[in-house]
Amino acid sequence: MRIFQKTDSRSIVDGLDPRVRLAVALTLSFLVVVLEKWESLALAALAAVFLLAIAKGFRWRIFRRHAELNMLAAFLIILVPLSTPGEAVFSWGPLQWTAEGFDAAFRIAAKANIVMAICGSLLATLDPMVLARAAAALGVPEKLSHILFFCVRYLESAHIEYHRLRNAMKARGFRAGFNGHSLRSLGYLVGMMFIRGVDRSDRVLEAMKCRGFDGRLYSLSAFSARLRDAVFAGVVVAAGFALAFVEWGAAWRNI
Amino acid sequence: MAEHLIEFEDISFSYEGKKVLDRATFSLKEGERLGLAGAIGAGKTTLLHLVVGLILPDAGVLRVLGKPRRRETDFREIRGKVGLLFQNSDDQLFCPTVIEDVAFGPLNMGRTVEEAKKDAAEALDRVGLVGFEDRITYRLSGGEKRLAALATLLAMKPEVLLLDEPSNGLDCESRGRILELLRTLPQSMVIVSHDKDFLNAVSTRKLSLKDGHVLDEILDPICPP
Repeated sequence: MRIFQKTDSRSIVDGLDPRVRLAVALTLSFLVVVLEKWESLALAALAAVFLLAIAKGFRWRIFRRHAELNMLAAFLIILVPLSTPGEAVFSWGPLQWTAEGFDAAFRIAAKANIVMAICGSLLATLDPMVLARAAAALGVPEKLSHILFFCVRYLESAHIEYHRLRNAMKARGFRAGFNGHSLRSLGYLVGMMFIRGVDRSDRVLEAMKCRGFDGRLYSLSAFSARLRDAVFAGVVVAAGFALAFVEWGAAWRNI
Repeated sequence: MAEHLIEFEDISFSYEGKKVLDRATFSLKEGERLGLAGAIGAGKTTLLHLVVGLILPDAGVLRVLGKPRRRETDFREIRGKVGLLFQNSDDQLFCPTVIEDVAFGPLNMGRTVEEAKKDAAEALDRVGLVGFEDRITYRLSGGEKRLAALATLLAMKPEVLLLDEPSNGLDCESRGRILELLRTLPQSMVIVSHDKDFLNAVSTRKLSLKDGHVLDEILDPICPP
Protein backbone atom coordinates (compact mmCIF):
# COMPACT_ATOMS: atom_id res chain seq x y z
CA MET A 1 0.00 0.00 0.00
CA ARG A 2 1.50 3.27 -1.09
CA ILE A 3 0.09 6.63 -0.18
CA PHE A 4 2.28 8.85 -2.31
CA GLN A 5 3.52 7.68 -5.65
CA LYS A 6 5.99 9.30 -7.94
CA THR A 7 4.64 9.83 -11.42
CA ASP A 8 6.97 9.33 -14.33
CA SER A 9 4.83 11.20 -16.84
CA ARG A 10 6.56 13.98 -18.70
CA SER A 11 3.80 16.26 -19.92
CA ILE A 12 4.01 19.95 -20.74
CA VAL A 13 2.77 20.71 -17.24
CA ASP A 14 5.49 18.55 -15.65
CA GLY A 15 8.11 20.69 -17.37
CA LEU A 16 6.84 23.88 -15.75
CA ASP A 17 8.28 25.54 -12.67
CA PRO A 18 6.30 24.25 -9.62
CA ARG A 19 6.03 27.81 -8.28
CA VAL A 20 4.31 28.91 -11.49
CA ARG A 21 1.97 25.91 -11.34
CA LEU A 22 0.98 26.64 -7.74
CA ALA A 23 0.53 30.37 -8.33
CA VAL A 24 -1.52 29.78 -11.49
CA ALA A 25 -3.70 27.12 -9.83
CA LEU A 26 -4.46 29.43 -6.90
CA THR A 27 -5.19 32.49 -9.01
CA LEU A 28 -7.41 30.64 -11.49
CA SER A 29 -9.28 28.90 -8.66
CA PHE A 30 -10.02 32.21 -6.92
CA LEU A 31 -11.20 33.70 -10.21
CA VAL A 32 -13.52 30.74 -10.89
CA VAL A 33 -15.02 30.96 -7.43
CA VAL A 34 -16.16 34.58 -7.96
CA LEU A 35 -17.64 33.98 -11.44
CA GLU A 36 -21.45 34.14 -11.57
CA LYS A 37 -22.50 33.93 -15.21
CA TRP A 38 -23.03 30.57 -16.91
CA GLU A 39 -21.20 31.81 -20.05
CA SER A 40 -18.02 32.56 -18.13
CA LEU A 41 -18.31 29.31 -16.16
CA ALA A 42 -18.57 27.40 -19.45
CA LEU A 43 -15.46 29.14 -20.74
CA ALA A 44 -13.64 28.34 -17.47
CA ALA A 45 -14.69 24.69 -17.78
CA LEU A 46 -13.25 24.63 -21.30
CA ALA A 47 -9.96 26.02 -19.98
CA ALA A 48 -9.91 23.44 -17.17
CA VAL A 49 -10.47 20.58 -19.62
CA PHE A 50 -7.67 21.99 -21.75
CA LEU A 51 -5.36 22.02 -18.70
CA LEU A 52 -6.27 18.41 -17.91
CA ALA A 53 -5.50 17.50 -21.52
CA ILE A 54 -2.02 19.04 -21.53
CA ALA A 55 -1.30 17.56 -18.09
CA LYS A 56 -2.19 14.10 -19.48
CA GLY A 57 -4.64 13.97 -16.63
CA PHE A 58 -7.35 11.95 -18.39
CA ARG A 59 -7.01 8.87 -16.31
CA TRP A 60 -9.35 6.70 -14.38
CA ARG A 61 -8.19 8.44 -11.20
CA ILE A 62 -9.43 11.82 -12.40
CA PHE A 63 -12.89 10.47 -13.18
CA ARG A 64 -13.07 8.79 -9.80
CA ARG A 65 -12.00 12.00 -8.09
CA HIS A 66 -14.74 13.96 -9.85
CA ALA A 67 -17.32 11.23 -9.19
CA GLU A 68 -16.56 11.46 -5.47
CA LEU A 69 -16.88 15.24 -5.57
CA ASN A 70 -20.19 15.03 -7.43
CA MET A 71 -21.66 12.67 -4.87
CA LEU A 72 -21.19 15.51 -2.40
CA ALA A 73 -22.60 17.95 -4.96
CA ALA A 74 -25.68 15.72 -5.34
CA PHE A 75 -26.55 16.41 -1.71
CA LEU A 76 -26.25 20.13 -2.38
CA ILE A 77 -28.49 19.85 -5.42
CA ILE A 78 -31.11 18.07 -3.34
CA LEU A 79 -30.86 20.25 -0.22
CA VAL A 80 -30.04 23.81 -1.39
CA PRO A 81 -33.28 24.29 -3.44
CA LEU A 82 -35.26 23.44 -0.28
CA SER A 83 -33.85 26.37 1.65
CA THR A 84 -33.67 28.95 -1.14
CA PRO A 85 -36.73 31.19 -1.51
CA GLY A 86 -38.14 31.55 -5.04
CA GLU A 87 -40.45 29.99 -7.59
CA ALA A 88 -41.26 26.36 -6.82
CA VAL A 89 -40.39 23.89 -9.57
CA PHE A 90 -42.01 20.97 -7.79
CA SER A 91 -43.15 20.13 -4.32
CA TRP A 92 -43.71 17.09 -2.20
CA GLY A 93 -45.92 17.54 0.82
CA PRO A 94 -44.66 20.59 2.71
CA LEU A 95 -41.29 20.52 0.83
CA GLN A 96 -40.68 22.91 -2.07
CA TRP A 97 -37.76 22.88 -4.47
CA THR A 98 -37.17 26.29 -6.08
CA ALA A 99 -35.71 27.18 -9.47
CA GLU A 100 -33.39 29.76 -7.88
CA GLY A 101 -32.14 27.05 -5.53
CA PHE A 102 -31.37 24.66 -8.38
CA ASP A 103 -29.57 27.47 -10.22
CA ALA A 104 -27.39 28.21 -7.18
CA ALA A 105 -26.69 24.53 -6.44
CA PHE A 106 -25.67 23.70 -10.01
CA ARG A 107 -23.45 26.78 -10.07
CA ILE A 108 -21.67 25.58 -6.90
CA ALA A 109 -21.27 22.09 -8.37
CA ALA A 110 -19.86 23.51 -11.61
CA LYS A 111 -17.37 25.73 -9.78
CA ALA A 112 -16.25 22.84 -7.58
CA ASN A 113 -15.63 20.63 -10.60
CA ILE A 114 -13.72 23.34 -12.44
CA VAL A 115 -11.51 24.10 -9.44
CA MET A 116 -10.94 20.38 -8.93
CA ALA A 117 -9.90 19.99 -12.58
CA ILE A 118 -7.52 22.96 -12.34
CA CYS A 119 -5.89 21.60 -9.18
CA GLY A 120 -5.99 18.06 -10.56
CA SER A 121 -4.04 19.08 -13.62
CA LEU A 122 -1.57 21.56 -12.11
CA LEU A 123 -1.08 20.36 -8.51
CA ALA A 124 -2.09 16.70 -8.18
CA THR A 125 0.66 15.74 -10.62
CA LEU A 126 3.22 17.53 -8.43
CA ASP A 127 5.38 15.59 -5.98
CA PRO A 128 4.12 16.57 -2.49
CA MET A 129 7.67 17.38 -1.44
CA VAL A 130 8.08 19.77 -4.35
CA LEU A 131 4.69 21.28 -3.58
CA ALA A 132 5.85 21.98 -0.01
CA ARG A 133 8.95 23.74 -1.27
CA ALA A 134 7.07 25.66 -3.94
CA ALA A 135 4.62 26.85 -1.29
CA ALA A 136 7.52 27.98 0.90
CA ALA A 137 9.07 29.78 -2.08
CA LEU A 138 5.77 31.64 -2.61
CA GLY A 139 5.82 32.94 0.96
CA VAL A 140 3.86 30.25 2.83
CA PRO A 141 5.34 30.15 6.38
CA GLU A 142 8.21 27.69 6.60
CA LYS A 143 6.58 25.84 9.49
CA LEU A 144 3.53 24.96 7.38
CA SER A 145 5.70 23.70 4.57
CA HIS A 146 7.69 21.63 7.09
CA ILE A 147 4.44 20.07 8.30
CA LEU A 148 3.59 19.01 4.75
CA PHE A 149 7.12 17.72 4.29
CA PHE A 150 7.00 15.56 7.42
CA CYS A 151 3.46 14.37 6.66
CA VAL A 152 4.71 12.97 3.39
CA ARG A 153 7.59 11.19 5.06
CA TYR A 154 5.80 9.85 8.12
CA LEU A 155 2.26 9.16 6.90
CA GLU A 156 3.56 5.99 5.33
CA SER A 157 5.46 5.10 8.51
CA ALA A 158 2.26 5.61 10.51
CA HIS A 159 0.40 3.52 7.96
CA ILE A 160 2.89 0.66 8.33
CA GLU A 161 2.79 1.01 12.10
CA TYR A 162 -1.01 0.84 12.02
CA HIS A 163 -0.93 -2.38 10.03
CA ARG A 164 1.70 -3.88 12.30
CA LEU A 165 -0.39 -3.18 15.41
CA ARG A 166 -3.59 -4.24 13.64
CA ASN A 167 -1.98 -7.54 12.59
CA ALA A 168 -0.74 -8.09 16.13
CA MET A 169 -4.34 -7.63 17.29
CA LYS A 170 -5.60 -9.98 14.60
CA ALA A 171 -3.03 -12.57 15.62
CA ARG A 172 -4.64 -12.58 19.05
CA GLY A 173 -8.06 -13.20 17.62
CA PHE A 174 -9.39 -9.63 17.43
CA ARG A 175 -12.24 -8.99 15.02
CA ALA A 176 -13.73 -5.53 14.91
CA GLY A 177 -17.43 -5.40 15.65
CA PHE A 178 -19.81 -2.79 17.00
CA ASN A 179 -19.33 -3.39 20.68
CA GLY A 180 -17.59 -1.86 23.65
CA HIS A 181 -14.61 -4.14 23.46
CA SER A 182 -13.93 -3.34 19.78
CA LEU A 183 -14.34 0.39 20.21
CA ARG A 184 -12.10 0.41 23.27
CA SER A 185 -9.44 -1.72 21.56
CA LEU A 186 -9.44 0.44 18.43
CA GLY A 187 -9.25 3.48 20.70
CA TYR A 188 -6.17 1.99 22.34
CA LEU A 189 -4.71 1.35 18.89
CA VAL A 190 -5.17 4.99 17.85
CA GLY A 191 -3.91 6.20 21.24
CA MET A 192 -0.83 4.00 20.99
CA MET A 193 -0.12 5.35 17.52
CA PHE A 194 -0.24 8.90 18.90
CA ILE A 195 2.10 8.03 21.77
CA ARG A 196 4.55 6.28 19.48
CA GLY A 197 4.24 9.14 17.02
CA VAL A 198 5.17 11.70 19.68
CA ASP A 199 8.09 9.55 20.85
CA ARG A 200 9.28 9.06 17.32
CA SER A 201 9.04 12.77 16.53
CA ASP A 202 11.21 13.46 19.59
CA ARG A 203 13.79 10.98 18.38
CA VAL A 204 13.70 12.31 14.82
CA LEU A 205 14.21 15.85 16.09
CA GLU A 206 17.13 14.67 18.23
CA ALA A 207 18.68 12.90 15.25
CA MET A 208 18.21 16.05 13.18
CA LYS A 209 19.77 18.20 15.89
CA CYS A 210 22.77 15.86 15.94
CA ARG A 211 23.27 16.71 12.32
CA GLY A 212 23.11 20.44 12.89
CA PHE A 213 19.42 21.18 12.16
CA ASP A 214 18.65 24.80 13.11
CA GLY A 215 15.05 25.16 11.99
CA ARG A 216 15.70 25.48 8.28
CA LEU A 217 15.57 22.80 5.63
CA TYR A 218 17.90 23.19 2.71
CA SER A 219 17.18 21.62 -0.62
CA LEU A 220 19.43 19.99 -3.17
CA SER A 221 17.51 21.23 -6.17
CA ALA A 222 16.72 24.82 -7.00
CA PHE A 223 13.69 26.13 -8.88
CA SER A 224 14.28 27.87 -12.16
CA ALA A 225 11.66 29.72 -14.16
CA ARG A 226 12.31 29.61 -17.89
CA LEU A 227 10.80 31.03 -21.06
CA ARG A 228 8.11 28.34 -21.22
CA ASP A 229 6.99 29.30 -17.70
CA ALA A 230 6.63 32.91 -18.83
CA VAL A 231 4.69 31.79 -21.93
CA PHE A 232 2.41 29.57 -19.85
CA ALA A 233 1.82 32.33 -17.28
CA GLY A 234 1.12 34.75 -20.14
CA VAL A 235 -1.46 32.45 -21.71
CA VAL A 236 -3.14 31.96 -18.33
CA VAL A 237 -3.25 35.70 -17.64
CA ALA A 238 -4.82 36.23 -21.09
CA ALA A 239 -7.37 33.49 -20.36
CA GLY A 240 -8.07 35.12 -17.01
CA PHE A 241 -8.77 38.47 -18.68
CA ALA A 242 -11.01 36.74 -21.21
CA LEU A 243 -13.00 35.18 -18.38
CA ALA A 244 -13.22 38.50 -16.55
CA PHE A 245 -14.38 40.19 -19.76
CA VAL A 246 -17.15 37.66 -20.34
CA GLU A 247 -18.20 38.01 -16.71
CA TRP A 248 -17.98 41.74 -16.17
CA GLY A 249 -17.47 43.15 -19.72
CA ALA A 250 -21.05 44.40 -20.03
CA ALA A 251 -20.83 46.17 -16.69
CA TRP A 252 -17.59 47.87 -17.75
CA ARG A 253 -19.17 49.10 -20.99
CA ASN A 254 -22.05 50.63 -19.09
CA ILE A 255 -19.79 52.72 -16.87
CA MET B 1 44.35 17.32 19.07
CA ALA B 2 43.64 16.23 22.59
CA GLU B 3 44.57 12.71 23.50
CA HIS B 4 41.16 11.97 24.95
CA LEU B 5 38.30 12.57 22.57
CA ILE B 6 35.63 11.88 25.18
CA GLU B 7 36.05 11.97 28.95
CA PHE B 8 33.38 11.19 31.54
CA GLU B 9 34.35 12.13 35.06
CA ASP B 10 31.92 11.01 37.79
CA ILE B 11 28.92 11.60 35.57
CA SER B 12 25.53 10.96 37.16
CA PHE B 13 22.19 10.99 35.44
CA SER B 14 18.75 10.11 36.75
CA TYR B 15 15.60 9.45 34.81
CA GLU B 16 12.21 9.36 36.54
CA GLY B 17 13.80 8.89 39.95
CA LYS B 18 16.04 6.04 38.83
CA LYS B 19 19.80 6.54 38.79
CA VAL B 20 20.78 5.43 35.28
CA LEU B 21 24.40 6.54 35.58
CA ASP B 22 26.04 6.78 39.00
CA ARG B 23 29.44 8.49 38.99
CA ALA B 24 30.37 6.87 35.68
CA THR B 25 33.95 7.44 34.52
CA PHE B 26 35.54 6.45 31.25
CA SER B 27 37.39 7.93 28.30
CA LEU B 28 37.82 7.35 24.60
CA LYS B 29 41.30 7.77 23.17
CA GLU B 30 42.18 8.64 19.62
CA GLY B 31 42.14 5.64 17.30
CA GLU B 32 40.20 3.43 19.69
CA ARG B 33 37.13 1.40 18.90
CA LEU B 34 35.59 1.14 22.33
CA GLY B 35 32.99 -1.56 22.84
CA LEU B 36 30.45 -0.92 25.57
CA ALA B 37 28.34 -3.85 26.70
CA GLY B 38 25.50 -3.96 29.16
CA ALA B 39 22.00 -5.27 29.64
CA ILE B 40 19.00 -3.51 28.13
CA GLY B 41 18.20 -0.53 30.34
CA ALA B 42 21.75 -0.36 31.74
CA GLY B 43 22.13 3.18 30.41
CA LYS B 44 24.09 2.57 27.22
CA THR B 45 21.91 4.81 25.07
CA THR B 46 21.79 7.42 27.84
CA LEU B 47 25.58 7.53 27.87
CA LEU B 48 25.74 8.18 24.11
CA HIS B 49 23.03 10.85 24.30
CA LEU B 50 25.00 12.60 27.06
CA VAL B 51 28.07 12.79 24.80
CA VAL B 52 26.24 14.85 22.16
CA GLY B 53 24.22 16.83 24.68
CA LEU B 54 20.74 15.54 23.85
CA ILE B 55 20.44 15.22 27.61
CA LEU B 56 22.53 16.97 30.27
CA PRO B 57 24.15 15.22 33.28
CA ASP B 58 22.99 15.92 36.83
CA ALA B 59 26.55 15.93 38.12
CA GLY B 60 30.11 15.34 36.93
CA VAL B 61 32.41 16.74 34.29
CA LEU B 62 31.98 15.89 30.62
CA ARG B 63 34.77 16.72 28.19
CA VAL B 64 34.30 16.19 24.45
CA LEU B 65 37.00 17.01 21.87
CA GLY B 66 39.21 18.60 24.50
CA LYS B 67 36.75 21.03 26.07
CA PRO B 68 34.31 20.73 28.94
CA ARG B 69 30.72 20.78 27.65
CA ARG B 70 28.00 22.06 29.92
CA ARG B 71 25.16 23.64 27.98
CA GLU B 72 23.42 23.38 24.60
CA THR B 73 25.66 26.03 23.01
CA ASP B 74 28.79 24.03 23.98
CA PHE B 75 27.40 20.99 22.23
CA ARG B 76 26.38 22.74 19.02
CA GLU B 77 29.97 22.97 17.80
CA ILE B 78 30.63 19.25 18.28
CA ARG B 79 27.57 17.97 16.43
CA GLY B 80 28.81 16.91 13.06
CA LYS B 81 32.25 16.20 14.51
CA VAL B 82 30.70 13.54 16.73
CA GLY B 83 28.26 11.44 14.73
CA LEU B 84 25.56 9.50 16.58
CA LEU B 85 23.97 6.48 14.90
CA PHE B 86 20.51 5.97 16.38
CA GLN B 87 19.23 2.60 17.42
CA ASN B 88 16.31 2.81 15.02
CA SER B 89 17.39 3.97 11.57
CA ASP B 90 13.82 5.08 10.83
CA ASP B 91 14.36 7.87 13.36
CA GLN B 92 17.45 8.99 11.55
CA LEU B 93 16.28 8.86 7.94
CA PHE B 94 13.57 11.45 7.52
CA CYS B 95 13.97 12.70 3.96
CA PRO B 96 12.14 11.04 1.09
CA THR B 97 15.23 10.08 -0.87
CA VAL B 98 18.59 8.74 0.26
CA ILE B 99 20.68 11.50 -1.33
CA GLU B 100 18.61 14.24 0.32
CA ASP B 101 19.04 12.59 3.70
CA VAL B 102 22.77 12.11 3.36
CA ALA B 103 23.21 15.70 2.17
CA PHE B 104 21.09 17.09 5.04
CA GLY B 105 24.01 17.24 7.50
CA PRO B 106 26.55 18.87 5.16
CA LEU B 107 23.92 21.47 4.13
CA ASN B 108 23.35 22.29 7.81
CA MET B 109 27.10 22.69 8.20
CA GLY B 110 26.94 25.45 5.61
CA ARG B 111 28.28 23.51 2.62
CA THR B 112 27.00 24.58 -0.80
CA VAL B 113 24.58 22.33 -2.69
CA GLU B 114 27.38 21.11 -4.98
CA GLU B 115 29.72 20.37 -2.07
CA ALA B 116 26.95 18.64 -0.12
CA LYS B 117 26.14 16.43 -3.11
CA LYS B 118 29.81 15.53 -3.39
CA ASP B 119 30.08 14.74 0.34
CA ALA B 120 26.94 12.63 0.11
CA ALA B 121 28.19 10.71 -2.93
CA GLU B 122 31.50 10.00 -1.18
CA ALA B 123 29.74 8.80 1.97
CA LEU B 124 27.43 6.52 -0.03
CA ASP B 125 30.45 5.14 -1.84
CA ARG B 126 32.15 4.51 1.50
CA VAL B 127 29.26 2.39 2.82
CA GLY B 128 28.72 0.63 -0.51
CA LEU B 129 25.40 2.25 -1.44
CA VAL B 130 26.38 3.65 -4.82
CA GLY B 131 23.30 3.82 -7.01
CA PHE B 132 20.96 4.26 -4.04
CA GLU B 133 20.82 8.07 -4.39
CA ASP B 134 17.21 8.32 -5.53
CA ARG B 135 15.84 5.36 -3.62
CA ILE B 136 13.02 6.11 -1.18
CA THR B 137 14.39 5.87 2.37
CA TYR B 138 11.41 4.14 3.96
CA ARG B 139 11.45 1.40 1.34
CA LEU B 140 15.04 0.33 2.00
CA SER B 141 15.68 -2.99 3.73
CA GLY B 142 16.77 -3.00 7.38
CA GLY B 143 20.43 -3.44 6.47
CA GLU B 144 20.32 -0.78 3.78
CA LYS B 145 18.67 1.64 6.20
CA ARG B 146 21.45 1.09 8.73
CA LEU B 147 24.11 1.68 6.06
CA ALA B 148 22.31 4.78 4.78
CA ALA B 149 22.07 6.11 8.35
CA LEU B 150 25.80 5.54 8.75
CA ALA B 151 26.39 7.38 5.47
CA THR B 152 24.44 10.39 6.80
CA LEU B 153 27.04 10.59 9.58
CA LEU B 154 30.09 9.99 7.39
CA ALA B 155 28.99 12.76 5.03
CA MET B 156 29.66 15.21 7.86
CA LYS B 157 33.24 13.91 8.14
CA PRO B 158 33.10 13.24 11.89
CA GLU B 159 36.10 12.61 14.13
CA VAL B 160 34.18 10.31 16.45
CA LEU B 161 31.33 7.90 15.81
CA LEU B 162 28.86 6.84 18.49
CA LEU B 163 27.03 3.72 17.42
CA ASP B 164 23.92 2.61 19.27
CA GLU B 165 23.33 -1.10 18.67
CA PRO B 166 24.62 -1.06 15.08
CA SER B 167 24.01 -4.79 14.58
CA ASN B 168 20.54 -4.83 16.12
CA GLY B 169 17.83 -6.45 14.04
CA LEU B 170 20.07 -7.21 11.08
CA ASP B 171 20.47 -10.51 9.25
CA CYS B 172 23.87 -12.23 9.12
CA GLU B 173 24.88 -10.69 5.83
CA SER B 174 24.05 -7.09 6.78
CA ARG B 175 25.63 -7.62 10.18
CA GLY B 176 28.83 -8.82 8.48
CA ARG B 177 28.80 -5.81 6.15
CA ILE B 178 28.47 -3.36 9.04
CA LEU B 179 31.17 -5.19 10.98
CA GLU B 180 33.62 -5.06 8.07
CA LEU B 181 32.82 -1.40 7.46
CA LEU B 182 33.36 -0.37 11.09
CA ARG B 183 36.72 -2.16 11.17
CA THR B 184 37.95 -0.24 8.14
CA LEU B 185 36.69 3.24 9.10
CA PRO B 186 39.45 5.56 10.37
CA GLN B 187 37.26 7.24 13.02
CA SER B 188 37.53 6.56 16.74
CA MET B 189 34.25 5.14 17.94
CA VAL B 190 32.13 4.02 20.84
CA ILE B 191 30.05 0.97 19.98
CA VAL B 192 27.21 0.12 22.28
CA SER B 193 25.70 -3.33 21.97
CA HIS B 194 24.51 -6.36 23.82
CA ASP B 195 25.70 -8.51 20.89
CA LYS B 196 28.90 -9.81 22.52
CA ASP B 197 30.34 -11.52 19.42
CA PHE B 198 29.92 -8.33 17.46
CA LEU B 199 31.69 -6.29 20.14
CA ASN B 200 34.52 -8.82 20.35
CA ALA B 201 35.02 -8.69 16.61
CA VAL B 202 34.96 -4.93 16.20
CA SER B 203 36.37 -3.27 19.30
CA THR B 204 39.95 -2.63 20.39
CA ARG B 205 38.93 -2.23 24.05
CA LYS B 206 35.83 -3.30 25.94
CA LEU B 207 33.96 -1.92 28.90
CA SER B 208 30.61 -2.71 30.39
CA LEU B 209 27.89 -0.82 32.16
CA LYS B 210 26.30 -2.20 35.28
CA ASP B 211 24.30 -0.50 38.02
CA GLY B 212 25.23 2.89 36.61
CA HIS B 213 28.97 2.28 36.74
CA VAL B 214 31.39 1.76 33.87
CA LEU B 215 33.39 -1.40 34.59
CA ASP B 216 36.76 -2.13 33.10
CA GLU B 217 36.04 -5.73 32.19
CA ILE B 218 33.35 -7.07 29.94
CA LEU B 219 30.88 -8.97 32.07
CA ASP B 220 30.69 -12.57 31.05
CA PRO B 221 28.16 -13.85 30.45
CA ILE B 222 25.66 -11.00 30.02
CA CYS B 223 22.87 -13.54 30.40
CA PRO B 224 23.56 -15.85 33.35
CA PRO B 225 22.91 -19.48 32.45
